[in-house]
Amino acid sequence: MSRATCSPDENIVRAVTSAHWDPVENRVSSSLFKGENISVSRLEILPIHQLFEIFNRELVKPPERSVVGAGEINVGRLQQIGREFTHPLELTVEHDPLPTNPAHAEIPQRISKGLSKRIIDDLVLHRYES
Amino acid sequence: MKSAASHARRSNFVNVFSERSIASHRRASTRIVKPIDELSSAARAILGPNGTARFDEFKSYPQGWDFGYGQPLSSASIASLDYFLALFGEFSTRPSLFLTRLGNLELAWEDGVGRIELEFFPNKVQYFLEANDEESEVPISHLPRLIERLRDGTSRSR
Repeated sequence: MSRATCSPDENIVRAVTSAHWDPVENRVSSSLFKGENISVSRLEILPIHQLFEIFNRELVKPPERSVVGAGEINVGRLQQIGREFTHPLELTVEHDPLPTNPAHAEIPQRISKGLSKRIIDDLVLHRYES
Repeated sequence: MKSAASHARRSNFVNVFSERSIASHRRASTRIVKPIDELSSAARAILGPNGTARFDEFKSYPQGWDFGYGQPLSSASIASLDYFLALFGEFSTRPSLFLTRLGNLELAWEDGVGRIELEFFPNKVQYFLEANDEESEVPISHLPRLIERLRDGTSRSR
């Protein structure tokens, strides 16, 4: 059964961990969105501070490991980036609520590093302050 | 399609390293196949204090570190990165070190025309050259060829 998709008006966030973000050099790895079934969360369902609580609960945390932020992007803008990419891709964001995160959604398409980098360039980064 | 591992086994190291001494080639070959737990001091110097601190942090990540899916840091990936840094140290900007879900180390930097990212697998390197929008991989044994391209300017030669 196909899942409901997010409207282009919605905004979503992707959790950013210390493994993916180098705050000193201000770089985010293109691995952040690379692959398929990429997990995101819908800001229409939960606000960012509640999502940070969920992200931190769900992580297996060694002493120094943490969620350092979340990258926000509008779904319509995400889709525009996919369509305008060198190898155009029709991106969708599908609802996938979980018991631990009712705002959970997925981008099912396979995203290359090149496209991931374009998406990252448009992210608004929210830094997590514990 | 043949695997990168079988490609690496068949490749001719002597041709690839024709301008290097046999002795240094032997040292390099040994470093490829032998996983290590620590980066050399030369590699740490290239990464700088921030990169070194990130490396030390990544060593503490357990199985499942990425929302249940992350693999621990691979010793073979450390060896691949160390080998690369022994051959290439001319970064125009200080590179960033990342850890991927597969437990591989990844380097990212800009060369003036775009982002370069290299993910170090035990027997291959996956690369992304933003200037060419090129994403591919080379067996470790062919790493010097990729390095030649990095030195020449990634957007101008293939």
